[in-house]
Amino acid sequence: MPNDRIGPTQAAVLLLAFTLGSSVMFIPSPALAAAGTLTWLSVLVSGSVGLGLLGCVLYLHRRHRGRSLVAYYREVFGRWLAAPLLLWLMLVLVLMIANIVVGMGNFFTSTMMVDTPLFYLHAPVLLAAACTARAGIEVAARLFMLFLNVIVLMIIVILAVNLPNYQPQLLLPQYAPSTLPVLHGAYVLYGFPYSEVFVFGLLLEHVRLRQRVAVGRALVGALLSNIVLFAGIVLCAGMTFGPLSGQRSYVLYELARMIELTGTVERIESIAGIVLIAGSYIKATIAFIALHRCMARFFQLKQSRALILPLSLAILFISLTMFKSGTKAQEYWTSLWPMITSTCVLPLLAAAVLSAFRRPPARSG
Amino acid sequence: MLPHIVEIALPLGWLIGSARSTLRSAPASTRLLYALLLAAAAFFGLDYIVSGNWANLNDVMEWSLGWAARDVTRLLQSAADQ
Repeated sequence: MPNDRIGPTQAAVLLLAFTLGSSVMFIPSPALAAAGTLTWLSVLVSGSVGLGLLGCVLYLHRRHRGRSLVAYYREVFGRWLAAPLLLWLMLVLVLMIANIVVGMGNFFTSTMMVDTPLFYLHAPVLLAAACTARAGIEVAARLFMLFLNVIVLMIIVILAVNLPNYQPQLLLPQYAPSTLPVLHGAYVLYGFPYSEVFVFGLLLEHVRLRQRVAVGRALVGALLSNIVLFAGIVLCAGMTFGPLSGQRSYVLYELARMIELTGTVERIESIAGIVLIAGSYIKATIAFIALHRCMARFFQLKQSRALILPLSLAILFISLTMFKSGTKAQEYWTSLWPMITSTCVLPLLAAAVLSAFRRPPARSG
Repeated sequence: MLPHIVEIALPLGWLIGSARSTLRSAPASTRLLYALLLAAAAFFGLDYIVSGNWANLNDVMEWSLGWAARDVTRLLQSAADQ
């Protein structure tokens, strides 16, 4: 298959783009609502869990000598147990893509484009993501290098230009600090984006075999960068809005609205919209590539790229019928989604434990 | 309802129309999965037209994992409130 080999830097770009993606817009607010000004601690806790999970994914990749997740699931669990686990994994990926575009649609219909039907917001992003996924992971990785730079630059600009609005004293806790709110924030952040690192179990087969050691360092570096950025965003939101930061629906968007350099730069919230569209597109594409690889390996398909467009159409209609309201969606992402992703994380952990107790596979793979 | 029908009929019709050329040299398994995915799209599309909400995948997730998610969230929230 052409265009399906990537290097360590490209894998790191994909991971950072995937974990920043749309979550940078949605997740700081519910995490701040749960943990208040101590959310940066929640970021560290859930980020550590994400790093552990990434270590597990990398261990399986090395232990099974770069084979696909489908192949080593079949080897570790046996063909009959692996089948339902992989089918469930595919269903979760379908829901993940649908949720990404639903989040983007909800943001625009509740902020800037309130009269636009969701179909016309979901369809272009899904179509672009499907076409990029069809072009292959290497093309996607090269393209996302550019988008990732834009996203990170815009986040840094939004945080930096807000400097006059920061009041560090607002970070001081109002009540005696407690562990459970921090854990609640960590639970929210674990579901979206840190537990979603399991998706890279499906993508690491594309990394060039000779660069397996370097890819570990690059991916850990990418996830650490994500943790630093998330911690920065929640700290800046806490310093700007104080205890009320959790009541803002989209913290980064609200921070962009606060910008006011008199006469020159004012209300640059549309930048937050650009970040969200680019992030949703990137994340949906990466999830599409993972889903496509999983389907192709599971059903042993040839010419499987033809399936991406009908798949995207099915996901489009799933995304349009998923939620009755934005509130329901928010509740789903912060409460149910961490549980759903855990059902994919647990088999991965079990595969790592079982692999550790088995003889390594022959060098032929 | 008419705009919804157009929104579904256009992409679905295009994919059905182009299936022959897209799948010209594809094996039977790929063709079968292609047909199944189009059928799934039509099914969810029909739900979108009639707003029936009978094809909601979230209900499956809610039924299977909702109880655990609600209990964990409640535990973390209630202890925090105290």
